[in-house]
Amino acid sequence: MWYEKLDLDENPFEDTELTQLIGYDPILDEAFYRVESGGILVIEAKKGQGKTAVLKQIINKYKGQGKVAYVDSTLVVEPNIENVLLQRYGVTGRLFKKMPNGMILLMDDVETLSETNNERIKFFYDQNYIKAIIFTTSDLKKVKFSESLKQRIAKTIKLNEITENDAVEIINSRIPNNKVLPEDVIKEIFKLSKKNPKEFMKNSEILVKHALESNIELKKEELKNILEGIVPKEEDPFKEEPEKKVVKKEKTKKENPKKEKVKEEPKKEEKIPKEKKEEIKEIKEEPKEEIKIEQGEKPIKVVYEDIAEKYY
Amino acid sequence: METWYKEIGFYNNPFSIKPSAYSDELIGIDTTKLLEDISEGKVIFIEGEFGKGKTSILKKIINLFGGKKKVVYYSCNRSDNSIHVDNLLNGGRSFLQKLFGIVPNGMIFLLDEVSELSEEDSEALLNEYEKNIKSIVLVGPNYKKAKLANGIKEKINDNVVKLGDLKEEDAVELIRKRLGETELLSDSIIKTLFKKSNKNPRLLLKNCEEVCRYAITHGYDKVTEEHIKKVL
Repeated sequence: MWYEKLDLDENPFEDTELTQLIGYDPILDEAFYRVESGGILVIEAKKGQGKTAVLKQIINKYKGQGKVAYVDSTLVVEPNIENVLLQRYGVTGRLFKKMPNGMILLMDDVETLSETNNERIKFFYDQNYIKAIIFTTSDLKKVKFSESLKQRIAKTIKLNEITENDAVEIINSRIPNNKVLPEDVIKEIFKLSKKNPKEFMKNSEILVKHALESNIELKKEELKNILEGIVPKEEDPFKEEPEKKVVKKEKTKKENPKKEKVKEEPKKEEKIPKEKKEEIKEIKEEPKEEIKIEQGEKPIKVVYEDIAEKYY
Repeated sequence: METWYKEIGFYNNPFSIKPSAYSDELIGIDTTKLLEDISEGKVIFIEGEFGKGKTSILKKIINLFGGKKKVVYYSCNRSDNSIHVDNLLNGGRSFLQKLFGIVPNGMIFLLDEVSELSEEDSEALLNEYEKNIKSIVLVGPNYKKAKLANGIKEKINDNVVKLGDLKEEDAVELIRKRLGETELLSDSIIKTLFKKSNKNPRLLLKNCEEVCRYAITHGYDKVTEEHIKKVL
């Protein structure tokens, strides 16, 4: 493969969960904080600006305890949050229809979220079945959050565009001893990619591949021609085409983290802080029985709560 | 770096807005009569806008009566209300009505988001109440606008609990219960935050979280008016 010439085992331009994100530190800090403190965070960013990449980092940090549920809202027209949670809860959830506790819900491209799910999410969040939620969207105005869900949102942040220097840093972090892409070339590719990170990675890959395969050195002035020679010119009306392709590629990519997440690892026992009685109470409250009657897609939930022993 | 609340000795976020986190906490609301009424088997309507603590009250009721399978919670705004085809196929019975068939006698019904309850269902509810429901608590933003059958309204009569604004002292008490007597937030700072939060308890908790987080992570041990300006 072409990238073996760079002494790499895999394509440096393809994102994995382990890929370090450059220029996203404040956003990741914010996201990790919200997950830990049990808040709801909304991330707004244009297509290709790295929303999904941010979510992947969160998955990477919290996976392995059966606690992270990732929902790509574009794939499911009407995801039933209830089912998503039950499935993520693994065998226990499906067998006993027992609700999980303290799930971390990641919802990508949330524009399509229906009002019913709004309400479900609110309910599950309030009951702490869902501990924290990260929503992403490319257009905040299109999201139909209900008033009561809106009130629960802790913070909304916008992903800033990455800078030229971030772009250089990204490439240098991905290609050790980078000689194939000099700084001025990187900046030029970034410009040609209209500062869109996803586009930037795609173009960088094309150019590096081309340079290595035809054994040439990349010159700032020739980039455009190479790209235009290799990439068929995109006419305006078809501008959507490549976008779609990218999305499709993503779908298959997403299979991976999902499968990985299904692996159930034993839940870590939660520490009970001595000083906080409230905590202990919360844990005592856990056993709940639930009867669910399903009729097609529309479950009714009857929750019998079995927590009042201590009051009698 | 440690999360700010861990730094000051909390295991969890003390300003969590989840009602379940602090279910005992109902401030500024006297629930004695409400709970008595439920025990006596009345029909009660709890009226309040967003963030006034409706869910917290329901949580309290569940806590008190919830053991021994006595309480049914149902949110009326689930999609099943608006779909008629299924209803026709099932002889016109809505899901709520089917629900009546399977729950044991003598239950306390908690119905959330009652503004979405259809009149027909409320009729059925009345019917069921007369047969075998012990007590009903209806929750919604506005009693007058709820489409309730007249029979139900008669049963409710004047058992309408209005959730009003929190008072300033209540706000201070709410935060003190969460945080304890600490220098971090003075009473006057809490009052300022309360005003900035439009007297909404949930917003107050969120704002307290933001300013405390800011102060602690920037190395202060006290929130000042300046911090508030900076963060909010």
